[in-house]
Amino acid sequence: MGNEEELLIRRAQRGNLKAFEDLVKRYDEKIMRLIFNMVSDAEDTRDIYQEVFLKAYQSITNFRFASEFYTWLYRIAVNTCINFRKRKTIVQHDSLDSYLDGNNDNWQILNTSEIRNPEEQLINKELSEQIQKSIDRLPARQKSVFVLKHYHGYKLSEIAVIMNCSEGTVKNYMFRAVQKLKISLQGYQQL
Amino acid sequence: MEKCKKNRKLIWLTIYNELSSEQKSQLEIHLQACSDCQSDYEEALRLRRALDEKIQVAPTAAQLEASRAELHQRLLLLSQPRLQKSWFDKVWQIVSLDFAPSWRFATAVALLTFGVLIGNFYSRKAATEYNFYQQQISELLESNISNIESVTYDPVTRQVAIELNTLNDFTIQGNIEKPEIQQLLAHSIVVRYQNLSIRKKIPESD
Repeated sequence: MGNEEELLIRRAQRGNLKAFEDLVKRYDEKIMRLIFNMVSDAEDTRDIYQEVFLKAYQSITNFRFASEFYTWLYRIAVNTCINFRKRKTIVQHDSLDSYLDGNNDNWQILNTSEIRNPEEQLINKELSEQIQKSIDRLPARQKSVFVLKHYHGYKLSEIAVIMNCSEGTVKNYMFRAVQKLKISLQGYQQL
Repeated sequence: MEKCKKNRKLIWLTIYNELSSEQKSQLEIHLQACSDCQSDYEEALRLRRALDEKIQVAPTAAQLEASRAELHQRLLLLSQPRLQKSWFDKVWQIVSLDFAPSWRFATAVALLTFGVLIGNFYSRKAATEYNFYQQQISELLESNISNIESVTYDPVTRQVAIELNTLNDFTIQGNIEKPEIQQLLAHSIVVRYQNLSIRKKIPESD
């Protein structure tokens, strides 16, 4: 954690709104991506985004600098997503079509360069939807670990801090998650 | 076999670059010797590549700005100091039954009960006071009054003080409009003691 960030956190803890919003700007893009990966719905993502940062603002005085600020923020985000899934019994996902046609002003595809022609695009879309369904079937904590590792590239030690558990537990969650994904995607991919 | 079970976990750890260089070299030695684990490793690599194919979306700058603006408004509301209600507002809220509909009926009943209790209390108090005067006057009239020493009337408070000589000195005091006082005045002055000299005292002013 840099000195500048520590200063912003201390100001935010004293109730400085501008300092808190500066912290939000540092992490909200990644947090929003994480939320989208967890819930796969743009509207739910927007709602959870608000909930996460309001919770962070209300509890920032509890941050004791024992961990990195982003791990503390990610923990709030992951827990909020898990609780959201518990509250929401009917889970709806946005179709990827709305992102692929390029008319969506709010969301953009990150890995567009890998999609070369319409046929590949269709295959890619079907595979993506199948992967998303498989990920959604994972238990909440396995899913959180897998998403943080695979799509956000965090180290298992960092994920252990975010998930507030041991690194060994995280390894187990990760291993079980990939085993389940392997089974559910067996007929779909070129394994 | 046990070693292969352990290595299956290590395969995933090496794919995600979570092994130390020493663990990595040990695994590589094992993979060269064990075809099953080598096959697992290749399978894991293919799955990793397939998972990488998943379309990843990210919020646009416009989406982030809109969300930040909404958050800003919510944070402003959250950071506003909460207004303290004055006692007048609190009383007015009760009097005007400014509650949730489910509480209005209960509050109306509570206020009505309170009113009835207050009314009952004062009516009992007035009755007790009246009975006290009645008893005092009747006892007095039946006693042997020898003289009326003085009558003091205060026009401001409209209080009359009648100092009587009975077997014991006795003073009774009350509002001039009270029928008991009037009855006593009439009885003592007009009927029985009209010939006696009664001093009229003027209340001392402050």
